[in-house]
Amino acid sequence: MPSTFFGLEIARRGLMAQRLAMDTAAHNLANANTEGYTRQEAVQAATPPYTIPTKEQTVVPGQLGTGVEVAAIRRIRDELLDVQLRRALGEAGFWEEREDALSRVEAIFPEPSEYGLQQLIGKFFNNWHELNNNPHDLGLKAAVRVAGEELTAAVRQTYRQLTDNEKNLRDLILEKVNEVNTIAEEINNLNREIRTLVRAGAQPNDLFDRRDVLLDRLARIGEVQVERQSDGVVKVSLFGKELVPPDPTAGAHTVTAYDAATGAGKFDHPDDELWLEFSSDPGNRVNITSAANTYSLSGALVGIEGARQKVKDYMQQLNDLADSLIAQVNQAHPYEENPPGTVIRADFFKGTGAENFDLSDLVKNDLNYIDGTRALTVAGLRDDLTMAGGTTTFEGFYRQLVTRIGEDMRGSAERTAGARAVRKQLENLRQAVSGVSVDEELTRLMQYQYAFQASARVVGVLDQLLDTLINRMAS
Amino acid sequence: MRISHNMIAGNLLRAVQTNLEGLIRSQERMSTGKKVNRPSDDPAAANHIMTLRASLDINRQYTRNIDDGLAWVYETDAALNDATGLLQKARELAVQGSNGTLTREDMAALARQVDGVIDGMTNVANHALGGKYIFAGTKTSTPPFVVDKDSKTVTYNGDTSAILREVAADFAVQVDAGGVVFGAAGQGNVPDGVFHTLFRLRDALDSGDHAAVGNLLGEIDQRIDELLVHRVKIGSRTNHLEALKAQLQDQEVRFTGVMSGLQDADIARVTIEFGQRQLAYQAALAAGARLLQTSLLDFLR
Repeated sequence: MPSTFFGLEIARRGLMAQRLAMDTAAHNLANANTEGYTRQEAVQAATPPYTIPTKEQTVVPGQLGTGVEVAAIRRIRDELLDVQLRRALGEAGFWEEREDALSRVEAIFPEPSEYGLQQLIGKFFNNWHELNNNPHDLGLKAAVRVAGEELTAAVRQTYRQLTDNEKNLRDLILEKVNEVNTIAEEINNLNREIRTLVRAGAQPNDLFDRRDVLLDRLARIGEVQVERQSDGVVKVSLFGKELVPPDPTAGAHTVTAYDAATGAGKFDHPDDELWLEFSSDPGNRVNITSAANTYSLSGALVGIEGARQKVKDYMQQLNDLADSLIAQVNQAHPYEENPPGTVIRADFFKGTGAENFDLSDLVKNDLNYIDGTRALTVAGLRDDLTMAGGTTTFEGFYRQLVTRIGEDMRGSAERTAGARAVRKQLENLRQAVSGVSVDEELTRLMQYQYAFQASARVVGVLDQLLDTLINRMAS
Repeated sequence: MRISHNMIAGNLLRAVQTNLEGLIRSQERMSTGKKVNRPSDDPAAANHIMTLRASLDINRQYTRNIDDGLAWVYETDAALNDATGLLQKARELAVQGSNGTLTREDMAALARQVDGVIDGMTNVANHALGGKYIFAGTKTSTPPFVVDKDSKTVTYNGDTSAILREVAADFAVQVDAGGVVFGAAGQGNVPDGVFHTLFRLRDALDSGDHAAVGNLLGEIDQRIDELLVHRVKIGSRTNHLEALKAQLQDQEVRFTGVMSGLQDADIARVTIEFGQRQLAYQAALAAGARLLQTSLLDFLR
């Protein structure tokens, strides 16, 4: 026979368990909007039954239930979805950052419009035509000079904006590298706490959540592989190199951006390639630049580097345009001095590349150095196939550049939309498993509340029973 | 699928965002009237638009060059017409002078008229259009012909370069006739030409030699024929320039049409699109607002 107070114990366990379940529901409700929160469930299980130790075993059939307990507070999460989602995050990060960077570049080129570089190139050559119609008119020479100033200034300005963009992207890359290091350190710290708690037999659900949020952030920056160990620690690799070690005691590894192409210099120059060095494997750096160009790795870091390479390509095109304008116009523009027949070179443009593309000092200071008799030759350059190995005109070349920027941007935007759709789908799937539904929690809360009331009722009944037994029977 | 509250909110936010984005696109198209507002809207169309814009731009310049060139050829033709008229007058004087009944005084009077013709011809040879001398080659700023009636010398101060106007890609048309009209083969002394024929006529009249005057008639006719050859050349260039101009004007109309097709938004279509997107946007907002308000809490005591 169980003891007199056996029923009270069952009721007490019921009260405690329902109370705990209600607390868990309350925790879920409180965290309904917490980023990365995984809903938890108090898993209720019957406590081990009581077998009455008598000789006449058959008198009391079976075992006696002893009530309920909360066996575990379970975190409801699908780890397979995490792996999938992290991959999708990397893909989305790649295209989002790329689109973001390219849209800023596209804004530098106000095309198609009447205010772009093409219009200025046309205006420049048109003014030479006008000068040809009146080769000695100083007013028209002044117009040619003004058109030249406008053109050179616009090319310089565009180039400077591209340079600024490239610099920003480089800074952004370094920022991301820093972020990787910070995240790695935080994950490592969490690993340490989690290991202590897991070894003590606890299940630190909320710490797991915080770590998963960090892993998601890391996955957006670069390709990650996550290995979960039995002691609760996760080993994290980025781009195939170990970043967070399996043993958290020592601290996380660090990542540094290097320029391997110019001999292990820092990543601080437009021409630098981006190589990541991991302190876990310093000998084998990861070449992000080539991965960006071949789309072989995903992640925001690679996307930004890809956009940076594009910007550098556009800068190169602009340089080619400026160089060709300088060479061709200067070649077509000798200046005839007195006595007649003495041809001296009076360059119209000066500079190398787009950065310091400008009018020559002679032309800038004295209109008479503009050679009206050569106007037709200079004006004729407009139709000559001067660019890209003699395949296109100045304007055609610039148009190709603008078209390429448009194509790059459009391609990125389309891929971004695609990657976002995938991510959204997977996020929804994860939410379907792990997200908090307020209605559901409220229902559970009611369910537990009724169970609590029922257990309380049992206490009341037993109280009456014991009152009868103890107080009434004795009197 | 199990639905969580975050999903509802997240999906709503995304739907609203997507619809709003489309709405802004339509609105941009409506307000700018253009469907290609940046290269990425339609890179291929952007390229076409820019090509057409450049073509229109350079065609306008070619049109201006043609207008300028036409002024030259019209002016040159008028000057050559004057020169022909003067030579015809000289021929009349020669016919009169070859008449054996004229006295020496009559002949001298005719010679003075020939002097007048020479002056007139000098004016024609030094004719200027807007301050530029049209028979001077490219040395348009100085009068090209210095005619000395007494020493019977003609000096050419111009050059033999052609005045060119580019009127199509890599195609330039000469719009002047050059000093060669008046016999100038290069800078410096002109050995023989229209002026020398007139000098000879005047001298023959002055000397009272009827036969010599009569003999000059053939030479004058030849000079008139030579001028005609130049006029024909100028005339054919005039025709060419006028044809090119008509062609460019025609192109302008067609290019503008094509560009409008590529670039301009179809307002009716965009308006309908805008309406549809607005509806979708409002529907997303309304559905979201109702769904988010509803909770089990509303039904619990």
